[in-house]
Amino acid sequence: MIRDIAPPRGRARRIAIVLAALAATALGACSNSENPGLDAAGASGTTRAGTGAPVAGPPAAGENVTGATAPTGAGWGVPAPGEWTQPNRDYANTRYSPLNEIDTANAATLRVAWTFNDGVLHGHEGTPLVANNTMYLVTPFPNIAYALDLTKPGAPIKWTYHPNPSPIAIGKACCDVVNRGWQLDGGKLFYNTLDGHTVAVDANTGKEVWRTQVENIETGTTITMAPLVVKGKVLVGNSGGEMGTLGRLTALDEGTGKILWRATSTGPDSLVRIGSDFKPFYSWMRGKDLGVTTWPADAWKHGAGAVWGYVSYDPDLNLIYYGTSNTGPWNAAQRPGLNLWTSGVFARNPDDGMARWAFVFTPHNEWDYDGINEDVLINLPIKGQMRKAMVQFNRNGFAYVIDRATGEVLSATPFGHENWASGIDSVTKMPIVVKEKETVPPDHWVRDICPADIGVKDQQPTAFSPRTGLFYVQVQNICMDYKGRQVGYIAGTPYWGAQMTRHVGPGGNYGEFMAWDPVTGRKVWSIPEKFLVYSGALVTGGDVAFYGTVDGWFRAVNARTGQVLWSQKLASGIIGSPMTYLGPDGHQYVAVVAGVGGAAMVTKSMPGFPPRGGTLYVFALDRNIKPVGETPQEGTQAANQNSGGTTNKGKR
Amino acid sequence: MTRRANIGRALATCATLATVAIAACRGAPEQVRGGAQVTALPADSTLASVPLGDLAGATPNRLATTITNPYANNQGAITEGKQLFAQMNCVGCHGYDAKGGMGPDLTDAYWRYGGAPAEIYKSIFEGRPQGMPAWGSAVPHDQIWKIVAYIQSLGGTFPAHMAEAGLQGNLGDLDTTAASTLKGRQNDQ
Amino acid sequence: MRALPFIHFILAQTRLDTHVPSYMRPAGAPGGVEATLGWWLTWTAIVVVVIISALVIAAIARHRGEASRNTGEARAQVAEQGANRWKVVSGLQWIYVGVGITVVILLVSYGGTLATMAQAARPDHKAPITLDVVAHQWWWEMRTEDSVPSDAFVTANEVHIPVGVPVHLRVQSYDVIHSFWVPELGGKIDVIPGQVNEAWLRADRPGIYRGQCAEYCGLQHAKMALAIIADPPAEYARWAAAQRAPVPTIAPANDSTAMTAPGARGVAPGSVVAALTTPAPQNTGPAAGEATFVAYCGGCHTVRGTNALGTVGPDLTHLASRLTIGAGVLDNTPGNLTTWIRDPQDVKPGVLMPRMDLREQQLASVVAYLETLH
Repeated sequence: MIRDIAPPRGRARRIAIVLAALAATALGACSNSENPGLDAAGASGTTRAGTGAPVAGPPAAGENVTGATAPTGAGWGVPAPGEWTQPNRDYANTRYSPLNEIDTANAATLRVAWTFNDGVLHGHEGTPLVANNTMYLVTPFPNIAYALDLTKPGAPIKWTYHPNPSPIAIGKACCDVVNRGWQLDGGKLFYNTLDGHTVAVDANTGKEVWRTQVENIETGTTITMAPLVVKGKVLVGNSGGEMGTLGRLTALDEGTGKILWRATSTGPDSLVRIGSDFKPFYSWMRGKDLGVTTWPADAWKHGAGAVWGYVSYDPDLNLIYYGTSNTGPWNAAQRPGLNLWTSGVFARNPDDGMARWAFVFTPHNEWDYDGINEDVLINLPIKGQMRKAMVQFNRNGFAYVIDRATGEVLSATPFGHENWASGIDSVTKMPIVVKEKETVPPDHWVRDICPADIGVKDQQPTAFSPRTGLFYVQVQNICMDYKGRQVGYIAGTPYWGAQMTRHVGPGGNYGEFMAWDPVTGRKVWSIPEKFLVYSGALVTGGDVAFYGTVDGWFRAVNARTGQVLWSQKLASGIIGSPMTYLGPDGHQYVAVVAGVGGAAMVTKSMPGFPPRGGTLYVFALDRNIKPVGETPQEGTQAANQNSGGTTNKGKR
Repeated sequence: MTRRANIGRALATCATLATVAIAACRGAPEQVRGGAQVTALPADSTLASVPLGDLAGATPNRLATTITNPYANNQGAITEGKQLFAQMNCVGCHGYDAKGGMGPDLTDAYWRYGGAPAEIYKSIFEGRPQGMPAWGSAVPHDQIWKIVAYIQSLGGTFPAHMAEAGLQGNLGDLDTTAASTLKGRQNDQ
Repeated sequence: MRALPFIHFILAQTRLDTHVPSYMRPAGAPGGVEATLGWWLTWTAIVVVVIISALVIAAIARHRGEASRNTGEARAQVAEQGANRWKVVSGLQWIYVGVGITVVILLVSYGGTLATMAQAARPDHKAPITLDVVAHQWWWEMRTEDSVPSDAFVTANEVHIPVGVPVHLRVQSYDVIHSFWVPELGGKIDVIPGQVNEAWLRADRPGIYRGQCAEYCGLQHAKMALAIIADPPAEYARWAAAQRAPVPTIAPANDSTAMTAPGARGVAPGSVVAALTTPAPQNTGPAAGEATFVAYCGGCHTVRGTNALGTVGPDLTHLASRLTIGAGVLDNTPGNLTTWIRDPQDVKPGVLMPRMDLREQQLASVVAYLETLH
């Protein structure tokens, strides 16, 4: 029997609308009181900015499917809806933008509005920023900053700033000379240079305001992370987990660049900044100077725990959260002990850097499973009670939901293929290691450890939608054969001690993009990809999620169903993070930089692996892209007529 | 012969053997000298004059072509060089198979700073921009030449007499030995 | 005279010469019980040999006596001894006696061997200290561990243990087969690449117990000595605490940032190349020596507390507290240290430490620095 699939007419339609309105009201009442605006209004047709007309068609079958919400309110660093001023958009690191001009109905009409090549061919991680109709980009080494004037056609360069970092730093960066992000605050652009400096640049003029050396490249330490500006302090972590560095987070004064405090990731409590306020939830993390006693003598000095990921911040609890890298050296036989506080996460008071709690995901890490992945701060219902949580999709393959006030692990669920641990101990929350996947003793091959060192997810940041209550997660399906080797520490050279080959995991697809329910710990939908998905994720108020693959496909998908709405092949692989903003014309644009590199290069021998690049792409709905001829400039009109370009589109 | 004579002869033989054995133990070590004591390593002053780039005035750059590695093709030196390659953490940047990672591939024919033995020696000794540390103090000259011998055994380097051809980009002139598959090889940056 | 060392060695077994270790004079366990068994077996064997020899000689002498007479007289002698015939002719009873004695001795020996092996297999209580030994060509890397990971520290060729406390021994090889042997404390433990062999030791008296590699392992196998020094527990605790501590740094920090990473002092290799082209510093004292040491020697050697953290050669963190250098080849004196560093190949040909070609001033400053490493 052929069903009539046309929308219900007449009386049936009115009944449907009433039922939908009732359902929406019921859901709106259930939602967290912290987040009244979007949830309650979202269900029935909302006025979308720019189009004027409410959305027609069948109403969404329930907005927030999990009950998880993003914290809102003053202090969470959320910029104006059309702007993007910090790497992961807000202090909670949600990477969610409320803009909804681009939605599931029209995303298929996205096309390139303009592009910009930054002249650098290394891996492009990081997120473009937009504020005051200016776009800010920072390149990988040599870390040039560009300000692009969005008010003019073609977004010409407003200013350029060259920090001229030392090229020696190139030889100290393990995984390409990337830069993971920059932040705007108080009229200044803050970012780190590879050679261990933090710079503050006037956002209007491009003049350097201050520059501070934070790390010493001669020790093999570099900086790639995106700083976070919190309460007048610029928080800067270091890189060098493969170079035997001493991992630490430094706070600099936003106005002067003076160093205010530093907290290391290993060492005595005085250096780690552990005091009487420190209350880790689990007993194996309580004790004096655990950053020393869980290592052989002095080994903590080169134990890494580098801070190269993103930092998040809760203004209500006044705590910052960040992860620490793998343990140095990788060859675990040289460092018996739990090796605190590497491969873990810290919660600290940003005023003085004193630690409030910590949790170590992979104690005595034998596989390079860093703890630095972004900690997204959300509230979610656990056993009927809303809990303030942080969620980290860890390298080791487990998605951790941790109470961000106390450090209690609320759940730890595998979110991809892993075979090194059979589970998480229910009392201590330590991983239960599979004996065959231990990489000690060294000097023999351990085969097929999943995931490989780069983990089930690496640094590429996820996105969380308060509308759907889902996470949008990049999953890696890659395994390794590993052989530990004896290594000595020679300052400025790698302190690694691991020989590895990598191969694809079961199924043959290196990458995957999926939606994850953090409350039930389940995949909602999934898109497998042949190449790695190493880009950041973006999700919008139009329920569109964006991500890119390492072979250069940039995709828009329906955030609820996972249906791919639109794909565009870009000039190079995508390892950076997409963002969205409102242009001066009031329309929504999506921007991402294509330029493969970073740790995605571990798959560079795949046939079809793209060459390097460095191009920013900005997309908009086809109907919003006006040909240049309509705003004539000297010579432009003539040039357009000669080229026979886009001047004669019938519809316009 | 009488029994006494037999016994006497046996004892004498034993004593002789014992004396010989003791003498042999004492005598041997004086002759042995350590290591592969090689004749002449290229002098520091000669190496210092090898330019990094090309000489101004289109003067042919011949100096590097005259300096050979005294340890090339010396299997003992190559083995030692391979051990040093791991012990000095070269493997951390260049890979356990020397095919690169943080640092460049040392088995291919692309040499940013020259692929002749003297040029590779200098790159190791002096360090290079973009991150190659200077090993001149941490590793004695002798050991550096052994590391160069190991790298030469991987097949991507230039014989000394081809240093100028390498500078001019004439890779095709290189002999294609079994260890080197330069023709048609792809070079990552 | 060429035979002198040989004779000296023989004599030393009978003298109480503590510089020549002997398994026949044990000072602890399991060497003690093994030596006891050894002595028992030796004496038993001696007694047996003496008795048998006596009987054989008696038999030969008696036989000679009989053969010198003619047949007739011999028969007469036999008839004369008729009454005592059963003593000589009835060999069967002798066999019973002989077998009986042999079996008893055999069973006692066998039982004793089993008991010894059981006692030698493990200490009477769990060893609180583990000695992890890695044998290299031609030196011994030794790590002392207990239950706290940060208590572990590394020395080379010489290690102290507390008297009366069993020490768990784990031996592994970095390269070829060696054999760990401290005669006064225990038997030989083969060190085989690719596996970890385990044993234990206990010293019952304070003293210096010299050991030796006991399996041919290359050119300098003969000069691969080690020493286990047994101290009373309080002294041992002091020694261990001193070994655990990193050395204080002498040279000023060259890190320009506000807080230096502790231990990131000393000069990294890259910046010392510049020093090669500038005139040598006049100061030959320990401070300059530390910088030179870290730059030239740090790639292979470790001195905890500095940036010299190489693991190719022996750990030198508390070198000045050791009795010998070069795995027992020279006494640890400034003169010998200078000789050794100037040309190790001269002292121990074939050793893997290269000649570093230091200038004399650099050498003097390095030795001055090493002398401060107590």
